[in-house]
Amino acid sequence: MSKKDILVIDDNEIVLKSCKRILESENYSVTICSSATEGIEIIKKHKYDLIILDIVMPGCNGLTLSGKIKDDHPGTRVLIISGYMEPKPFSEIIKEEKMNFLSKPFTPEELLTAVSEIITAMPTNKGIN
Amino acid sequence: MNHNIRLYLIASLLGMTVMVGGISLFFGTYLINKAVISEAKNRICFDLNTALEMYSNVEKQINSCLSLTALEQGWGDCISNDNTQKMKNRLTDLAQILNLDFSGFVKNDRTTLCRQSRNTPNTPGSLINPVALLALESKSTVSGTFVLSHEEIKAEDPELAEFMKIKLINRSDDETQGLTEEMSCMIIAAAVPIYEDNLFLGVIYGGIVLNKSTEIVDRVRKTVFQNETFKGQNIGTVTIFLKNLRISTNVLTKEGVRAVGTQISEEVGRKVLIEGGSWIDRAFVVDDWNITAYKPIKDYHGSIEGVLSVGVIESKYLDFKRNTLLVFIAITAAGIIIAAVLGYVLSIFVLHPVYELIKISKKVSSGDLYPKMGKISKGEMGILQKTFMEMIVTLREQNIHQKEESEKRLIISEKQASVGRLAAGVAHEINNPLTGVLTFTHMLLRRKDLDSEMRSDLETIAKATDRVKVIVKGLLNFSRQIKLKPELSDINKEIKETINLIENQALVKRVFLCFDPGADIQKRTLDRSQFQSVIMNILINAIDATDPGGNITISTRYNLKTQNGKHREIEIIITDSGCGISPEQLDRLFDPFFTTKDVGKGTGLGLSVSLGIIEHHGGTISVKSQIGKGSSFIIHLPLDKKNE
Ligand SMILES: Nc1ncnc2c1ncn2[C@@H]1O[C@H](COP(=O)(O)OP(=O)(O)O)[C@@H](O)[C@H]1O
Ligand SMILES: [Mg+2]
Repeated sequence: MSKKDILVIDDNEIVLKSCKRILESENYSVTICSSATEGIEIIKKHKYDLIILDIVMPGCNGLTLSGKIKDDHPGTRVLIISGYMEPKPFSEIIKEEKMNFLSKPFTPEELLTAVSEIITAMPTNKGIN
Repeated sequence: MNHNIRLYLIASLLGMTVMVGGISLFFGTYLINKAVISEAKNRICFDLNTALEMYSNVEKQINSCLSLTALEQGWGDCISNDNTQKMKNRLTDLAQILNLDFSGFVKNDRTTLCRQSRNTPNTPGSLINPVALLALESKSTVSGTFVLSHEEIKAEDPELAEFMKIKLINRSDDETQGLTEEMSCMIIAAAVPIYEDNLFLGVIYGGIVLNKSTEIVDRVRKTVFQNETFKGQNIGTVTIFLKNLRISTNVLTKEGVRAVGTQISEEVGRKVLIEGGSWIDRAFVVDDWNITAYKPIKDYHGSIEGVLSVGVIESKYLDFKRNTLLVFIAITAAGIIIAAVLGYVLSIFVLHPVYELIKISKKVSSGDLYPKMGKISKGEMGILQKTFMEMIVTLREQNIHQKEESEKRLIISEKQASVGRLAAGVAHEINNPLTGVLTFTHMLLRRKDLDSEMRSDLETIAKATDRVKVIVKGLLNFSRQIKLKPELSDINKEIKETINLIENQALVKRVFLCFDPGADIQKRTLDRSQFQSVIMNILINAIDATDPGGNITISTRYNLKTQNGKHREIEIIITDSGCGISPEQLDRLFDPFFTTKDVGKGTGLGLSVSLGIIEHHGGTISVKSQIGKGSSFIIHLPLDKKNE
């Protein structure tokens, strides 16, 4: 089983560090990135299995970016993480689009559960198995 | 409409004067008519009495003069000496004084010794004068009115008798058609017995003939009417009738001669000659209407032989009546004109405050709540004006109250929003480090090489951090609870409602608000009160920035901006012609507590909270501004996903 590539985009360094630490402990390959614009560049260069996205970031919000990723990279999954616990307009969009969502703060177990749920549900994953 | 009131006022005043004038004219005419006629009648009555008095004075005068003459000495001598000349002289003197037409002396043996008349110096005849005969028989004084036959007067003076004949001027309906001449003669005469040494010697007599005489009637007219004339005509006339025949008169015929020979009107004749009454009324005399009075003349024996009448030509009174009426009409007409003018002036006077009120109410309805009211009038108008002013004051208070209310609402929602935003901000900021703490604590706890003390310490950290997590979550829930009451709302309607709240403020500052709602704007889930507070905030800022006379326009529209090829966005554009915002200010515009307004007026929270609210609805606010030209705030609101 190949290592899954995960990209984390968040403007907060502590969050980035935490995600990297948790996910690497479970043998995921983790790339971190602190801005949406930078993230877009990285996505262009490499195909990720999962992108973990913060909603509220300067310059661009996570939902817009999520839409972009879905359109450009159909195989890539997205997990939204946000400190605004389900703000209404966002939460509606999230529900509507059946997005994966995790609210901050989270414990390592919560993050790992969310990630492994997404990865096991991936059709490519099944195909490989 | 306004002019109608004035017209009504004048018309009613005019109508009233015309009515009052008409009524008084009507009754005035009636009263004047009555007064004039009754005055005329009164006067003619009085005049008739005077005439009668004068008439009887003639008789008395003859009587007393004859009596005096009878007392003179020497009548006996005259008789015994057959001195008729002396007798004659005496009679001539008498006749001259009394202007007698005839006189004479009859001896006790019934012989007429001497006759004296104007034309025939001495005409003794066999026929004794009937007046003298009466005195002879009664041996006492006899005086009065008598009617003598032609023969009898002829005995006195044949020439006179001839002259006294009166040709009847026949009327067509005259019953005495066959008769053409009146031969008998009316006289006033007296006969006085003469005694000497207690011996009855005879009587002297004398009289004046009334037929064709002018003396008495003219004298009476002169006395009674003072020869007053009206249009060249004597106003008064005096007439003596023998039976129904005018024998002595100053009534003139059309030809201008005395109307001797004409007759009394049948009606009057019946009343006066037959019934012996008097007559006072209008009467057609010869050929003119007169106001006349008639009284019978009784002869010595007491039988009605003639009529004395006086008359005043009616036209004099008619003229007087007409003049009076003219004056009356003139006064009424003047009254009407004065009423019209007065009505006009009054209407201006009365309506001026009304027009003033109309002007003021127009001002008020256009938003000026501080209109200048002119002088407060007295009475009801003043009450109306005062009440109106009170109404305006109430309106003003209400307006202020409303303004305060909406400001209060704004402040409350601003406060709520800022608390929520603060909470959200804090939560966001705390969540990130909290994630770190949670992560690394748990990672540490995974290690198997921890001694129990260290493990228990870490577990305490993890528990405490979990607790912080719960608190932050609670804080966020709390802020959400305040903030979000999303309902499916009509954006245009919300904006309209907000404008209604703020409109008066703009009107008072004379800033014109204009709303141009876009067509078919879809409903969207909104927190209505917060959305309204955003619009209100931006509007208030715009009003504050705009000088009187400026404009603020609000419009809504779709921006068919492609976002993932799908997203549609509503734009709410609020543009003012105010002072504008400099680029440096533009950078800090949405910062909390940034304000250029005086302390107490501006909090600097308005825009920052507004942005927060709009962002929570998934939108943004952008600003374009040019110093001195104005600013444009654009709220971008994405539509609900499900509506796309
Ligand atoms: N339409 C506008 N035109 C010019 N200046 C504006 C306008 N709207 C806002 N501003 C400026 O932005 C500042 C901040 O506005 P705001 O956040 O609503 O706070 P406040 O109104 O309490 O001052 C105002 O003090 C004013 O200087
Ligand atoms: Mg403000």
